[in-house]
Amino acid sequence: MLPWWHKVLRLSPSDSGRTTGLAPRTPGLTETATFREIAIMADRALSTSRRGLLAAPLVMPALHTSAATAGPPGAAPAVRTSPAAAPGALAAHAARIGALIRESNHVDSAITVQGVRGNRQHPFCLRWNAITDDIVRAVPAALDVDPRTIGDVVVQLVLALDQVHEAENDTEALDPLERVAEVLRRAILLLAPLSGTDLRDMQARYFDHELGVALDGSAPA
Amino acid sequence: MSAASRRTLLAGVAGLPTAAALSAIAAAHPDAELLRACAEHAANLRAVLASPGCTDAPGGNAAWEAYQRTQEAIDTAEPVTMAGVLAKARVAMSEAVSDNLFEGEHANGFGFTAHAWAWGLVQDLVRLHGIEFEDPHTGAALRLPLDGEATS
Repeated sequence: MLPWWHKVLRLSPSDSGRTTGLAPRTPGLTETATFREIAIMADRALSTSRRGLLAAPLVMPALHTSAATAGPPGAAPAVRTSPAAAPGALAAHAARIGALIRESNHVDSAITVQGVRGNRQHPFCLRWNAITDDIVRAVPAALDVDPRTIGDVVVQLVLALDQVHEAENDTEALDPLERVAEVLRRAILLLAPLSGTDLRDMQARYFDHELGVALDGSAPA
Repeated sequence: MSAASRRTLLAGVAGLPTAAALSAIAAAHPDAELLRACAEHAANLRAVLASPGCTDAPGGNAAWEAYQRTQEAIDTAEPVTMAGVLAKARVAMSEAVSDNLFEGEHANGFGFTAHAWAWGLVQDLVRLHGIEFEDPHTGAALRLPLDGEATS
């Protein structure tokens, strides 16, 4: 198998488990880092990216555009992109989780500044743990929502991917990849009609039904 | 995980495209290459799952090499239509489901691929539909990082 991080790092599949012997190009890596260690760092870099997105409010350019180009009083605002792209059913979940992550980041910074990391009884560490618990409880609820817009799909994918990383060391957690698969399945069901694609036609053209049911659970055509 | 849920996910693998479906893909489609790669990849994934020892053979075998070829094609393609996004989502879902079905030296590899493609889909949807993220501190628009790009 050639995992994605091999491509990211331009490695050979036969390099797995060996030390790199390469000059470090990424801060924190040593010349004797194994490729597994590099992979973990690459995964964490991606996770940081996703967390950054979760912490950022989702905004729609169309909404800004409509405000800037509003016509005379009483005229309908000029919304130029599809409302399907707006955050919909998940907006409240995304806002709450984003706020929790922003607070988590601030507390994490404070823990670093105060030099109290690892001190489990310190108020900052207690607060960080409480926020983390809140996030852990909030994410499954957000993933259970049926997406209604493309913005919803984006938020759910980011949340599900973040769970893959967060569950790395949690053997009790549900398989996060199954959550990713379920988010993708629901995204396909939503996006096909939104894009004017007939789901049955798409499946008939691109997917065979010889072994099972279709994406929407229906019997093979 | 419930049996019903498992069946639903397994149906994702079962419903993979066949080579016969390729003929239905119009060459003039803006995402023709990606659609073709996704259809071929699904068939290649099926072949690899049917012969789990193939990746351990020195130099790989035909099924594995074909799988890697279409994987690379999907990695490098950038969908420009929703049809392309949907096809990529379909194969990403199949990779995610397959992660638990494969034993061997490279187990978890399908998960890595599913992970990378699902993240790519986030980028594709944002790029195609003009969704922006706003820096909560500065109000500036956030740029989506590329796969593997470290962020501070």
